Amino acid sequence: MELVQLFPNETIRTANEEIKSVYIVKSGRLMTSDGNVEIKPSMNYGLDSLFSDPSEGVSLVAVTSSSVLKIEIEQLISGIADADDDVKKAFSGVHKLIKKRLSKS
Amino acid sequence: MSQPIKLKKGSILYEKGQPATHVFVVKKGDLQASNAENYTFEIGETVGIFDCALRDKYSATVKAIGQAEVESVKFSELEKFSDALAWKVTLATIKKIDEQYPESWS
Repeated sequence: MELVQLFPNETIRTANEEIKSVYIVKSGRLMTSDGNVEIKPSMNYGLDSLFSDPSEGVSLVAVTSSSVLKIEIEQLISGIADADDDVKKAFSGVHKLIKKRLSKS
Repeated sequence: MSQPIKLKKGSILYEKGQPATHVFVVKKGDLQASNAENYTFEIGETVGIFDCALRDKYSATVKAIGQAEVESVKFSELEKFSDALAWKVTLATIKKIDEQYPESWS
């Protein structure tokens, strides 16, 4: 787990890179490179991929100066690895729902 | 354990005011909440999480738009993992979204 400081337009994750971490915005704002998803303080990027497709073809870029908590997925999964599949799917489904809701349409 | 539920077009999954005890993962078809008619719950999404996590009762009626199938999961099954970092992050995100978007969400 590490706190990362980003300048405007700085990239924290490049396109097609396997998602190994979840990014939680502490301050500032991140945006996916396709402009579809905006991540504001207390929101995260990557949790929807926790139990599904680990790659995505977009970069993650700071819109403003941002402070981002980067947590390794292994660390996140450790407390939930023994959960039944339906519980894992429910967790993943929450973040799919949130991601879609945060997407600009 | 989860229970699969098959819904016909227009069937109600749950009604506003019912105790919020279960979340539902969409397996087939689409669903819609009465308070968000321009929003459709699609395959893979979890319905009812906001009400289960933040309120005692469902805040909207949810029905199937066409034929649909969902898997119900007791919210208490998710809460068993309340000490897990993944759940803490999830709950924090849900609370933040609920604060930032005044329109109700299932």
